[in-house]
Amino acid sequence: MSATKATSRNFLSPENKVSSGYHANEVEDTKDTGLSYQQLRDISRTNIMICQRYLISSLGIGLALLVWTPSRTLAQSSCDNPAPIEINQLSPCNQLTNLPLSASEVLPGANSEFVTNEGDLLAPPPFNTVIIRELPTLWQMRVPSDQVDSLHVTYKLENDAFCTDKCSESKVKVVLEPLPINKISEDEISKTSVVQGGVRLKLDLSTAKQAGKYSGDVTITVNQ
Amino acid sequence: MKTRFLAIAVASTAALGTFVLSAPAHAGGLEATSGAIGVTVTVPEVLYLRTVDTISAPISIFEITGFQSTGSRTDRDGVADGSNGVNLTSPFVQQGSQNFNFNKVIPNVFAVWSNNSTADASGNGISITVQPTANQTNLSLTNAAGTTVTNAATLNGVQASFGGQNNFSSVIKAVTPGLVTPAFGDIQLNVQLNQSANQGAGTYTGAAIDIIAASL
Repeated sequence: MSATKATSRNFLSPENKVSSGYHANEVEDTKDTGLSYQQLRDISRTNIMICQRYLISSLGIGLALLVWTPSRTLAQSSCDNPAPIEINQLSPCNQLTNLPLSASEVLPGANSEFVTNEGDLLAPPPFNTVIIRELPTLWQMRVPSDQVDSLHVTYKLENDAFCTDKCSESKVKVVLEPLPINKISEDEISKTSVVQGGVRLKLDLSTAKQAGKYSGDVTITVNQ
Repeated sequence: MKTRFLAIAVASTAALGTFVLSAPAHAGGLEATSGAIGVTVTVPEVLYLRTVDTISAPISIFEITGFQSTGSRTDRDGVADGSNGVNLTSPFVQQGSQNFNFNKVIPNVFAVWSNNSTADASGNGISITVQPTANQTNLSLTNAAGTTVTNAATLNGVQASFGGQNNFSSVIKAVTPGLVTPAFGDIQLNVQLNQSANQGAGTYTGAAIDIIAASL
């Protein structure tokens, strides 16, 4: 009987790049000049192979074997990037990390008003200075299936803020809240699962004295 | 031979398992950290103007005429000697006085918030422009008897000043205030009482002014 010999690509060298930092797409900053017009009147009137391959070296050393089976897909994955093959390799999803806010979100109603009491003149204006955004598909990772429930993730942002040139002058304060980790697929043979996660950002614009782009670097740590 | 081959295959699976799971693990499990992921938020420009609805201010005779008189006042001036008598020159219309033409400052009339990111050469980011409303500069007098006298006074002009500055002009500018603490200020009305009317006491109403806030 002759030994079966087959060669295959070595799947163990990573095809997916590990997330080492990717940058937001640039967006045109369009300036909307605000104008407000008032008339005062004296009279009062006054708002996630199938192909089994065996790699056997002719010397019988360095055996490496990778088995692909169809994985069970458990949830809709919106990652454009294919799931990682190695385990415990934190990998990027396709999440765009550019968050434009619209003027009507910050100021939902008219941009002027009358008050009848002078004391109301300096009351807080009707801006929504706290705005919530989500980056739901920020990362994905393959982990042993029995560890899925014991994973947790933390997100860190330097200065807890997005800044323009200098964080001392003008900044958007940010509170990061992890979104629940989702299991995207499960592979019975390797007993691994692909999980995916993201973050919710609570943006506080009250310290952002100027319109424009505010940026920061978020780091993700997944551990058990 | 075939059996031995399969045995090798099984062994290599186990070897693979170890190999694949050789990623660094802490005591107690894995820890994987990403590199820096850049996130950008684009904050839009917004502007908000708040003003009082009505300006209603008491005005004293002194403000109008420069003549100090609260309520009634009795002076003695003149000698009745057969040809002359009591001085008939109005104390209210004095040489070099305003002649019923006066400025009245009204504080805390407008407040503006803005996050404009650009500024002019002086560092200002917002402007306030004030003007009498077109075709609304006539004031009518409603006197104590309830009679209305039209064209009793005229609003000739209006200027503004940011609070505490007393620097009145029809266009004023300031550094962009941000979204929390506004730039706020006062206005100054230029009023002329119509001397051919009876300059009666009472409420003069009917004029209006425009206040325009803009980012520079």
